[in-house]
Formats: sequence, structure tokens, C-alpha cells
Amino acid sequence: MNAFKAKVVLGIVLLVLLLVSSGCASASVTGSWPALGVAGGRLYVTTQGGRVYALDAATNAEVWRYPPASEKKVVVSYSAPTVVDNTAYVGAVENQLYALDVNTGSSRWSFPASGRIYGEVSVANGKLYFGEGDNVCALDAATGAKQWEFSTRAGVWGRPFVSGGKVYVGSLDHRLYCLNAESGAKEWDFVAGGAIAGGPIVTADAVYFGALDNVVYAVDVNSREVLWKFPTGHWVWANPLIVDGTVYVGSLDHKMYALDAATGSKVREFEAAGMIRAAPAFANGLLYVGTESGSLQVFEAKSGAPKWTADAGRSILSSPVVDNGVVYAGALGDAVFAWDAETGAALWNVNPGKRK
Amino acid sequence: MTQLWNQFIFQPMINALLWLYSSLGHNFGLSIVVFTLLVRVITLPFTLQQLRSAKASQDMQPKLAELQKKHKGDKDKLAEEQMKLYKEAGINPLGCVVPMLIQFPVWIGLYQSIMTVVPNSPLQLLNLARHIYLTFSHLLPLNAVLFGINLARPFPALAVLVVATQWVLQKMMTPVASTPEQAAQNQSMELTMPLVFGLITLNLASGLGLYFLTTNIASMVQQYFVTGWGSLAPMLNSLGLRVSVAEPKDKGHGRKK
Repeated sequence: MNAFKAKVVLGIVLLVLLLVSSGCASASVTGSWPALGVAGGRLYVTTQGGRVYALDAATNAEVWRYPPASEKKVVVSYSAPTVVDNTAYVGAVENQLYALDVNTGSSRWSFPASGRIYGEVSVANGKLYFGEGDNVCALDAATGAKQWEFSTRAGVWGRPFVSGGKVYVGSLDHRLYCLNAESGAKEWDFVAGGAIAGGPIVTADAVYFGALDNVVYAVDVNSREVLWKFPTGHWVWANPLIVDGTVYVGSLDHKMYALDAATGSKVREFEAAGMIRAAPAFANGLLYVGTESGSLQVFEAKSGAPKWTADAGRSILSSPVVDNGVVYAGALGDAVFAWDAETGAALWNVNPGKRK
Repeated sequence: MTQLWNQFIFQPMINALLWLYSSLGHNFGLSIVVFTLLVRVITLPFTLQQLRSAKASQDMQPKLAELQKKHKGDKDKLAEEQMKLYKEAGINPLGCVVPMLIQFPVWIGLYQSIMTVVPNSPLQLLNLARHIYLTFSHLLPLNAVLFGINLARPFPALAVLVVATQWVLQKMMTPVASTPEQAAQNQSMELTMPLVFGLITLNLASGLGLYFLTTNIASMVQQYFVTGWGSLAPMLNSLGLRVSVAEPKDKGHGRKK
């Protein structure tokens, strides 16, 4: 074989190895994204690293972590802690729901779920509602005792919404379910054109939600008829947010849409730098939008004008939270950022899992 | 490079798998089997070239061993004589490597596709969102249950089948050993490969195990028609099945015409 042929073969080998290594890299998708909750001057953070942290919201000083550093147990969670009555409720991928004392970080009780918990917990009338595997589950908030369970045909990944004695929850089986909050009995369901991975939001008249058929739906909660549908350019995974009669909802098509809640007509749209996976935060007329490209983009809700943008360096896939003039966001890899909510000035950033 | 991979290999394969799923009555298991066989048919010319070149190289081993003995200590002369021998026989010494290299990305893409289309977590679903053609979005989530087996989860019995078929394939790929050293070497390969594949199947989604099983059976058929039963022949004979040690039809052997 001459030298030229040898070089060609070597070139092919290198090209193939490069292609294969790229392929293998893009296939490896593990872990979770960090999610945040804020209450009483504390920031609660679930992390990919397998612990829940309570940080002082002003200084980022660690107040406690669960499980404690001495324990090997891990709590991997995609969902933001829900804080009610001095208890932080955290659903974990390891089929567990934890009720943590917000003062000490110790576990009040834990519930062995029948499947992975990916979505947030809703609390209403002394009960917790959440998705576990393919089921919707209700527990007594004080004791963790199971009240009822309702089975769907696929995963329940979004946060249930409780309103007027009903639980509204989406499932990957393409259905939005309306369940009796006391008994778990099905009142009705609505079949969408795609899987429902996020959670709904409910007003007195309608339930709003997005689906993986790229559509935002508004369904009358009484007649169960579709009030309107709004098509976007990609999946709608984020929970919608309603402010002053306007539905704000992000899509994986890199846009945040502002829709008239009554008619579904587009009021305006906001261009983002990447896919929008989670609901925006809203405070003082500003919308805070985390993107898969790693930027936190802030818009004036009324005009749509960009206010400021900050870069976290890695994807922001959970909702930002705003408290006391500060906006917080978590990026893949567990870094948590704090910016001045009005100006975007960086206040601090920390990776709680990397602290001893 | 990642973008190149995604655009030309990974994404077309994912979406071809989804198209098959929608065309085959939403049966993910059947889609994996058909998809694997289709890819094997497309890469068949390369596979045959690889198998024939490997067979031809194996046939030349005695002559190469002679040359090694003759030119012991003179590496340049040995290389020169080896190349001469390959040239005379019309064999490209890399004849079995290049086809394998061309197929390798296809297999990786196939593996990735199967792992990606049944997302088990939100991050995996987000990864699928980056690669899916939106016309197939309504198919999600795929019905990954086949005969009561969830193909998105590990299934130990499938690992046993993968180990068994991989062992048979390995036996067929190995020529009958002529020395005790060669026999020992063959035996270690025949055990290691099936165990590695078995362990992978045991720990990953059983859809991947179904892919291994399908590809093993397809490889066994191809191997039989090119090289025969290989090291499996003496074993089958001892069971009274009377099979030939030689390959059924000796065509080409990768020689240049």
C-alpha cells in the first residue's frame, strides 16, 4: 500500500473516530436540572448532585442541606421545593417524597412513591397533590398518609393545579384530567393532540396548558369545550402564567408568547436566545425567562421591550424565582445565580454542591 | 463535528425509527427489529466485504507464519514479503478494517436512536426535542411494551438470549484452532464478548438488548453464508448434526478481480 493510500485510510479512521465520539457525547444525557423555591428569606435549591440546600437568600450562606453531608443517601430532583407551613416538600427521582423541616433541614416524614417524581407538589386544604410515575397521588400534608391515587396511561410530570375542589393535571398520555380533590375520582378528561409534560393553570372559567403537539390550549372547565388553541413552532412544555388577563407561555421554538386569555389571540411575542422549557417569573411588570442557551432574559411585560440579559453559561431549564428585588436562577451543573431584579447587576453565584 | 453527526446520521435515524413505529402499528419492538434489519441490508455490501477479507486473511495465516519464520529478525524484508504475498493473493490487508469503520458510525447511530426515542426522564425528553422532526411529535410517548416487556427498562431474560446468541456468533466467527495456544485464545474471546454484551443488556434499556439480539441473529445468518459454522462445526458434529467444517460457498474472498 503506498503512502497516499495509508494517509487516506488514516484520515477515514480519524474522521470516523471523531464522528463516533461526537455521537456518544450527544447520547449521554443523565442527571437532572436544579430547581429553586424561595420563602421567608431563604432560597431552597434541589440539585443534580443529589441534595436539597437551604441558603440565606441575601448572602448565599448555607443554612442546611438534606441529606446531611455525613449521609451517602441522595435526593435527585427536577422539581422546585414547595414551602408551606414551615415544611419544604420535595419530590425525588428515587420514588420518594420528602417533607423537610425548614428550620433544621431534618425529615419530618418521607413517602415511598410508586414511581419517579418529576413535577412539583401542590398543597391545598391540608393535602399534597403530585405525580408519581403514571399516577396522580394525594397525601395528608401533616402525616404523609396516602389519601388516594389515580392512574393515567403514561407519566405525570407536571404540577397538578388545585381549584374549586378539583385537581387539574396533565399526563404524557395526551390527556388533561379533572379529578375530585377529595376522592380522586375522575370528573372528566380532555384529549390533546400531544403529550402534556407541563402543568396547567386554572381560572374561574378555563384551564390553560401546553402540549407536545406545539399547541397552547384553553378549555372551558364547565362545558369542557375548547375555547381556543394557539399553535407555536415547537413543543409547549412550560406551565403557562396568567397576569392581568394575559397568558404568558414559553415554547421550545425560542419564543415566549403573550396571549389574550379570553380569545387566544397573540398580544405579542418575545424572542429568546434558546428553547424555553419552564414558566417565566413575573414581578413589577417584568418577565424573567430562563433559556436552554443559558441566558436569563428580562422583558417588560406590557411592551415586550427587552430590559436586560444575563448569562449563566449553562442551560436554565427550571423557572427563575423573584423575591425582595432579587431574581434567582439555577443552571445545569447546579450553579445558582442572583441578580438585581431591576438592573440585572450580578449579586452572587454559588454552586452549593461544591462547598464542603 | 457534533452538528455533522446529528444532522446526517443521528437525526435521520431517530426519525426513520419513529416513521417505522407509526407505520408498524405503534409497535416499538417490531420497529427496532425491522429498523435493525433494514440497516443491516443497507450495510450488507460492506459487511460481506469485511467478512470475506477476514476469511481470506485467515486462510493466509499459514503462509504468513512461514514468512515470519523465514525472515525472523529482518523486519523490513518481512514487511516487503508480506505485502508481496497480499498483492499476489489480491488481498488488501485493510480490506476488513475499512468496511468495519464505515459501518461503525451506523451502529453507534442506531444504538443512540433506540436509547433516545424512549426518554426516561425530562432531560432525555429535552434531548429528543432537539432531534425529532416535529411531524412525529404526536407519537410520543412511544408504546415501549412488547409481550409485557417494557423496552425502556432492563429485562434480565433478554440478557441471557443476548449472551447465548453472541456466544454462537463468536464461535462461528472463529476458525477451528490448529494449535492449543490458538484454542485458548479463541476460548477467551468467545467468553469475553458475550459477557460484555450481556452485562450491557442487563443494565440498559431492553430495547437495546432487542437490537443486540436481532443484530446477532442477522450476523449469524451472514456469517454462515460467508464462512460457514466456524468453530461451532465440531460442536454441532459431536451432537450428531453432521455439518461441514468448511464454508458452504467460497466466493471471492475479497480478491481483486
